[in-house]
Amino acid sequence: MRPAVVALAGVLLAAGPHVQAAGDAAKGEKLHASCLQCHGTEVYVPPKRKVKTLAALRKETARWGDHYNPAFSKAEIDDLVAYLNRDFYKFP
Amino acid sequence: MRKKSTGRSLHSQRAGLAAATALLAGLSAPAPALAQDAARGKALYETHCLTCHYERIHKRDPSRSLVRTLPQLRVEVARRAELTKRRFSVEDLEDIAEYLNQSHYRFGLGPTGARELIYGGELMSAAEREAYRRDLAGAPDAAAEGQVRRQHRERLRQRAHQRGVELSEPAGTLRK
Repeated sequence: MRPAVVALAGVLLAAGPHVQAAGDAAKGEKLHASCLQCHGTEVYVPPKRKVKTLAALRKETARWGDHYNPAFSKAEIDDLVAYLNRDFYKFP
Repeated sequence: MRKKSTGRSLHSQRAGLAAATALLAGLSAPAPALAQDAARGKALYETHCLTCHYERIHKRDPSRSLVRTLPQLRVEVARRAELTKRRFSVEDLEDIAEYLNQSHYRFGLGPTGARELIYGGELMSAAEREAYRRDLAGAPDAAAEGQVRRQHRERLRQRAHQRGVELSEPAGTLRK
């Protein structure tokens, strides 16, 4: 039983980052038009970067995604993160 | 015979004049009249229109707006252009109207599909934002929706004031 739990946890951990990277960057780029109403892409490459991990990028994207009407769905946040990471943040 | 030839030369003179006029028109307006250039319109708009009013006048409730059709938009642009005492060409006016139609009015263009950032969203809780989205979705018509938006803006402006912060106009993001 215990090895099975460990194995399952291992599978989940392995799936974790993979799920985050599952977004579609091309779709994300289109969705990103809503963000450009207020700021340019310069905010993604500041002199001193505050967002230092993919998880932090996802959190920040989701935070802003909830400030919209309609709110961005989880899948749309994935797409945005995929786009932002591909073109700006480049986290592994 | 002679008469005919005079006629022909007059005709060719006219054609030459027309060509010269067309050339001049082409020189003074690089964009052809039918292909309005929204980017050029944006530059003109930002230089000459925003000196007297903010962009938020285009976000008025449709019920209070002077502009409800594309022809009305063109008329209104021309009328306002006259107030600047600067001379605008027909192309200038068309480009400005085109820009405003694409960016705000969207007559005959369908919705942008763009989302709006909730005004003052940073000062609201997640539950409040959800309630606001519900209120907007539940508004029966554009006038009711405008009412919801106005009340929301007013409430958030007051909240910002109480907290000693400032919201940008018209987006409503926190000024830092």
